[in-house]
Amino acid sequence: MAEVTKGLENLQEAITACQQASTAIASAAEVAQARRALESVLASLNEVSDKFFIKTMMSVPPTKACKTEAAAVAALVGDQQWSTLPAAVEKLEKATKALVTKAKMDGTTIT
Amino acid sequence: MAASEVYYMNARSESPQTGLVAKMLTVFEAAGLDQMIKPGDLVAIKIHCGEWNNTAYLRPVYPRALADRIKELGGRPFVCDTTTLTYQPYASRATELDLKMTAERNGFSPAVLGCPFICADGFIGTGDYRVDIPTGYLLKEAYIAQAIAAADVLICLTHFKGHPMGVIGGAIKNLGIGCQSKRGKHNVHLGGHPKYSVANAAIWHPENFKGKANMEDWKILEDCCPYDLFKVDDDTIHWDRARCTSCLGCIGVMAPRGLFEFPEENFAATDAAIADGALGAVIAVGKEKCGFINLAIDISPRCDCVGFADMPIVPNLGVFASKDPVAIDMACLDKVRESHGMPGSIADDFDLLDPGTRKFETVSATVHGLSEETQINTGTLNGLGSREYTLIETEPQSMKRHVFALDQRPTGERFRQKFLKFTPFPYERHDGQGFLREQEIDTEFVKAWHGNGGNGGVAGAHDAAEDAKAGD
Repeated sequence: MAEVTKGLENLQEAITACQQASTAIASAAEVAQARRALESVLASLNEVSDKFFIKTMMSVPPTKACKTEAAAVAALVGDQQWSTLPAAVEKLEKATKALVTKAKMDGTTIT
Repeated sequence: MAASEVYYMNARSESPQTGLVAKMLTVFEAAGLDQMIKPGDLVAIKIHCGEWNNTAYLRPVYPRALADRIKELGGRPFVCDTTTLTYQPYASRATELDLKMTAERNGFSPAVLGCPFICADGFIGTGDYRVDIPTGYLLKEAYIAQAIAAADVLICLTHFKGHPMGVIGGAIKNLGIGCQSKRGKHNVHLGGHPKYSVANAAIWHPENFKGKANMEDWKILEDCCPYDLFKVDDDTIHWDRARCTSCLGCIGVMAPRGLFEFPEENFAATDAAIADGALGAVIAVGKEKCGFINLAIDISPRCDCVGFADMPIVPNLGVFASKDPVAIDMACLDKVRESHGMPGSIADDFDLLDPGTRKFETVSATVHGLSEETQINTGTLNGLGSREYTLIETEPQSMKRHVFALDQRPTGERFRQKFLKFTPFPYERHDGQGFLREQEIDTEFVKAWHGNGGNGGVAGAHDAAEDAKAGD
């Protein structure tokens, strides 16, 4: 059986990275919009965390994308790279939106 | 158990005798499957006709060519598939009528196949033949589709691919699910089983139903069950789980809404049961009368039983034939593992592009923990076949065997008189040139794009483009 990082583990890492980034920019007025976007992303990620989808193999790629983009955002925040932060947050929002859509499993045949 | 012979040709083609249809017929004969067929034999060609809007299933030309060959051998072929469990609310093959309509839309009709297309287990799916499986690992009996059990010879013509529950969909699954009646599929999916059935394995979360007012599409919660086992009140949902048959029609509805959780064990047990069901089908027909052809092409991650087809996870791998369903699936599985993954496919999403990786249990399985070998290992334990195999590379047959079969005279001989009478080329026009055309063009000019200002490379357009490039 191949070892694959589970969707839930990816998601938790994404959430942790988002929380760290959000906390770090809490008082940075110049990135208020990014902070609001991060809070919205966090709410979405938390909402999907208890969905059945997250327990399936199908969740691995979209959660991995969220993890990757969240890590990129956290790294930029750590380096206070404010100029490139909006673009990174936008990528994270896009990955999160894709995850939320897939988590609905609309039309998915499980068997 | 001794190693079984698996005959193999790769997926490359550069001539009529190396085309995939020719290769399918070549390995059919190399494996001796033609020797199983005696004049007058009823020969069931078991295919998967594909769900509505699936596009990865085998093209109808494969069973057509096989049926033609079987007729040459004196057999009476029929192509068949079976009704499905409902599996999802919008199933397209759950009755004979729906199966035939879907199959026809996918190209499987008597006119195309050159022989009948049969729904092998009757209108609803209760037309079957019960067999005991004394050596079954989990199942001890199977219900085989009547038309398959009644056949003198069974040729499983299988599209090798992934499967969300079975992990792989090969010859074993074509037997273990595909040859079971609907009743038999209830058995393989472990309906009523004290441990592995949906009724007993699923964790039910009615507390996650937040009321009709909060669920716009609540009606589907009742309507997904053909046995009418779900009732929705204003604030609660009830499941008569004692009567659940594991038809699986509800899973895709309940699980995404948080109402069901499925342990991996339920899926894994079904994968083992598939191999037992496969053994039941072989017992019903007779081990010496079952042959297997796997086409490892268009290897989609999910089965032909879904109403879509994702990109193949690996390139086309080739054509296999054997008398052993376990060995042939093992050979296909090994080829998939040896192959590079397909860039841009779900194999890429999972970083499984390197050769040597176990791809299906990651990209195809619905849940974590399933093995792409469960069917194969169970099929070895129950005596269905051997996972040890000798792969025999097969040489192409002569080209003449695979050219247009309906008239094998050379074209001069066939058309000379016809073309004298109905001459397609107008020799009498334009001084014998036949058609009105430019005498010469600049073929180099049109190998590159020169912008919308060009006039096709005739009458100086080339010079104009050169001038434009030079800034004149």
